[in-house]
Amino acid sequence: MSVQILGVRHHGAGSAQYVAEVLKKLKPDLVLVEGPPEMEAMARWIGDKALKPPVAVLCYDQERTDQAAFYPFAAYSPEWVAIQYANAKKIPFRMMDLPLSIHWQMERDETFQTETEIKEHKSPLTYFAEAAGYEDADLWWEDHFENRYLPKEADAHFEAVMLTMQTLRDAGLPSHLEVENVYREAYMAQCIRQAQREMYQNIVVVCGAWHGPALLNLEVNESQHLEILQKLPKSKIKVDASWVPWTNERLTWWSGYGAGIASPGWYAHLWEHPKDTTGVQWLSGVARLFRSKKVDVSTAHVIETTRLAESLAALRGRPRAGLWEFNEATVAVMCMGEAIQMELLKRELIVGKDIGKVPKDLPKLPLHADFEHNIEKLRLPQPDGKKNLELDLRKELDLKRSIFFFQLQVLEVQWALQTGVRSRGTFKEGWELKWKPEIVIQIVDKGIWGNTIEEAASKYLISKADQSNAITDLAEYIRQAIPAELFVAIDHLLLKINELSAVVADIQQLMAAIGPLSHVSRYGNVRGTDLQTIAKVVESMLIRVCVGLPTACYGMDEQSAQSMFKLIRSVHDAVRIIENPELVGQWQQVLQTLATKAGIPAIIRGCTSRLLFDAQVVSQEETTTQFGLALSNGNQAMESAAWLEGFLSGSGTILLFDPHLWNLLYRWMAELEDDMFKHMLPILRRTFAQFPTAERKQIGEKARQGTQNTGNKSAERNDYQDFDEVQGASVLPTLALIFGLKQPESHV
Amino acid sequence: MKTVLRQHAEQQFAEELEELRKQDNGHRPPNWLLSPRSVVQYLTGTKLKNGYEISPKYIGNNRLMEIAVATLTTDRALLLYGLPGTAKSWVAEHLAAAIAGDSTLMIQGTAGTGEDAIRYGWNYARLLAEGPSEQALVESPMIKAMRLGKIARIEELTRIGADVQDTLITILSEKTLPIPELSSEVQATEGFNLIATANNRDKGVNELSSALKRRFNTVILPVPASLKEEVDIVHRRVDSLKKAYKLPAEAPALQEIQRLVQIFRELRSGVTADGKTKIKSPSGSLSTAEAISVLGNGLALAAHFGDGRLNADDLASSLIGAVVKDPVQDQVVWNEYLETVIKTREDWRDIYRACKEQ
Repeated sequence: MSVQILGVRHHGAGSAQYVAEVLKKLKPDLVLVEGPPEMEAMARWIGDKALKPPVAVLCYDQERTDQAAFYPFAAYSPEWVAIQYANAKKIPFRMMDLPLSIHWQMERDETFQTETEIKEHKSPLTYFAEAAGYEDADLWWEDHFENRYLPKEADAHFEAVMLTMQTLRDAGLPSHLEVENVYREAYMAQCIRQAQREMYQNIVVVCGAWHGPALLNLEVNESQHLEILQKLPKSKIKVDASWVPWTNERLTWWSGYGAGIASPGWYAHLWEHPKDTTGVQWLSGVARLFRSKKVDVSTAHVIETTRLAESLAALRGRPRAGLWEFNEATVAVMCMGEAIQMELLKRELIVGKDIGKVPKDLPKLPLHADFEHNIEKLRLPQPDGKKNLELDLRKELDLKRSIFFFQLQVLEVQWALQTGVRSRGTFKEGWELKWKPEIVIQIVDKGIWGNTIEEAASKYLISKADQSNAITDLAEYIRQAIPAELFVAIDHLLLKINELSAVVADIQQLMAAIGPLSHVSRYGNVRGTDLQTIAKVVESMLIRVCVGLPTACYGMDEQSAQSMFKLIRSVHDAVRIIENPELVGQWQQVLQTLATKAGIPAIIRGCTSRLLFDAQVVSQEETTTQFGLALSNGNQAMESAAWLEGFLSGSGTILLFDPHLWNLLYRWMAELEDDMFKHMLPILRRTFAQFPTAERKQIGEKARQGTQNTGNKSAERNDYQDFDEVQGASVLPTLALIFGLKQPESHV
Repeated sequence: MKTVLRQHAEQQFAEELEELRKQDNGHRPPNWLLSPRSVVQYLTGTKLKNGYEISPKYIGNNRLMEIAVATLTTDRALLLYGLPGTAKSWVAEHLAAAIAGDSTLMIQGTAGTGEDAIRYGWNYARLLAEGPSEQALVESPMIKAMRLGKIARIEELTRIGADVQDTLITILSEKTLPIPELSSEVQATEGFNLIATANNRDKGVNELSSALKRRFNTVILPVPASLKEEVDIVHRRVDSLKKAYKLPAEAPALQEIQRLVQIFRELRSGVTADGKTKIKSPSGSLSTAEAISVLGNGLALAAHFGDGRLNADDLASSLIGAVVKDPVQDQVVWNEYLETVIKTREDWRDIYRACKEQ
């Protein structure tokens, strides 16, 4: 009765090679693999052609979707290799780690001592690495145990691994999960004993190298282990598991199997080409990649890179060049020392872009199942390839589809993208459906938020809102939630926004939020949503703005005034949209205060004067007076220019049609001293450059003519001397018909 | 006997090289005085088995030195690239000293460097009297290095005109230098290689042709990564400077160096050390080498005109000189920095006052 313990590194390509070799030699009748037993049913699929790594097993609590854990596998994961062997040879295998149900129960029971965070935890392997002159424990491990696969040396390899770990454990160095490991290792040992009792003769155990020594001496430790295991809680948690596709990029993250790996692409290369000891194959791949991006890399470059990597490895006393050497040699030879191109290399080769596949007929994560159910229910095209849809929101089915798409957008699932701009009056919406394999992963990612798309979207949005204290964020979330019809979330968001707007000190934030919200309250109606509440919130926010604005603008510096000036314009637009006469009145009063009060930055005074003038609240004479005041000699020239910027921003048409203003501006400009003019040129240019080209041209032509006679209009008439009145009049009846006017009795 | 102002690296560090040679049992490439690993140790500093301390010549990422040395063991030449003052020439000199025991085979690249400087020239008197002959040939350091199997150096490669640069191609690829006038050639012997340095900032001057680029492995020497590293570099260099010039001044306090390096780093990166305030950067490169010379200057002032102790006043004048390269724009940058950053720091009052008085 033999038990062979193979200590591995999860996702270690060298470990995997040795595991494969041992299995082939020992021909075990049972394989035990580290991993929770809940994933056993899923693991039976390993080896099936439809299951293509990188993939992960997702284990989750049936009742609480937020409790979940991923167990990723690559083709070179030793666990994957072991189970694949067992499945191919039709021998039994077992997952022998502590069940997740118990693990999660422990986390929920407060009586259990949970892991205390060890600050600046040092991996025990670091001690070996440092002694051997390595900067990094991982690098040391890779050099000694992963990067060189020596066939027929498997026994020596695992013996060395065991000895290494035994030494570290004997020295009493803690691993990073010290508390948890006590239970897990007792449980694993017990699993092995159980297998022995079942009279398996030839057992191979694949587990993390660190655990190896704890699984020796099974007889001696039995009573101690049983004692530990008795402390474990009973658990009623029901765990479900499912395969999900994974990506190389995700293999670099931390997950259920502990550390991620930094370079999955490089590992895959080691696994697929164990004989590429010189790295020529790797570097040829690098060269091909560079060439595909139009970087000239010749064969000679590859040769030189190989040689430099070799010399580097020799200089460092390493048995053979590893990824570090290849990268450094690549930078020095192929990239002219610039590390920037390595980013490309890292993305494409070192990490790699592989995406896994899972069989279609597997049980799916509830959220994913709901996604597919929705596709069927809404008679949407199967997720595959690219397709454009045009929806008519008056039809019930199309409306539901649109809602579904918007919910996906809330969940950041990028399948359906809206195309074109939804114009206000129409009921059409254009969508582009573009399927990418990552989308499944995006859905799986959100699985913790709920079992249906709607529920998950709602909860996800609420949780995002709870983390944010910025009104602008919340306004944006509301804008997303309305077309997705997430009513629960909308209520929550409105409540929160109301609370926040009461306490928020920064009036600019409030103002920034009003714009998008007012839009929603005005135009969102197309979809038949009840938007009364939003309107109320917007109104209360507006009132707050009206109260606080004059004080906020008082004594503002130039930079803040610039942004405030834009905000005032956007709030002004919002007020016009809302069309509540009471609010409009209040707002205009505030504007008037701003336009005349001293201490308010000139740009804001200018802007408010213009808004009031456009709204015809202030008469032309009054505006002319203000214009004159602002441009009079007593003012600082810079201030006048700022006022002008505020007043003219957006449109200069007013200058073309109001000779009074024109003359004031013209004279002011003419009287400027040379130096002053140069000083003010940038700010004037900024103002005028925003006007449409045609307008600028007209203003320029007008400027050539100098001041204008404000009394009679004959001068203007002269411009239109060759106007043919008879021909002009002939279009008037048709125009009148179009505008629904009476036939004009006489023409101009 | 008069002592020279600045010794060559192989003279100044003769003892260290000798100690390294004694304990070095690694494989030596042909004509190398040390094994590659010992060369790296010479550059990065270490403590030998017999307790002898090798001082670090390059403080920074050791991996870069490994790449540089590994390159020289292959038949590719080495190009050290970087901003002004990142120790390119310094590293090149020490590499040549450690590998070949001779750092003098150097060609200074300038806009006026002609082919003669790289290949060979003629002793015209002899040439006219005897016609072309071996004796009439004036050999360049390059030819000497090729004959002796040593390391040749070219400083500021990108300042040399493109047509002249390209004469290097034959030397680097064929390892020969033809002398058509004598129908002969010089063939490089084992151990020959070339280290060139070039400046990042004026890359545009004469960019290397891609044929030439292909014959170099490039190592970019970065500006020091951390304040600590940079302070360490300045500290060491100022110490040796003080010894070389026999300045009767106290070595500057570490704190003074730290302050200066911090000013340099902040102005260089455009953000204060705490990462909270943005500031403008002046037009100069503000390299570590300049920080060293500012301190050297300050020490000289302190020694000859002050009380022998480096204080803020001694630093201020050369500090401003290093920062303000453009009298208009840099002055604005500096004043802004002075008023918004230096002034606000409690324990920097002395330096603020000193700078204001300048």
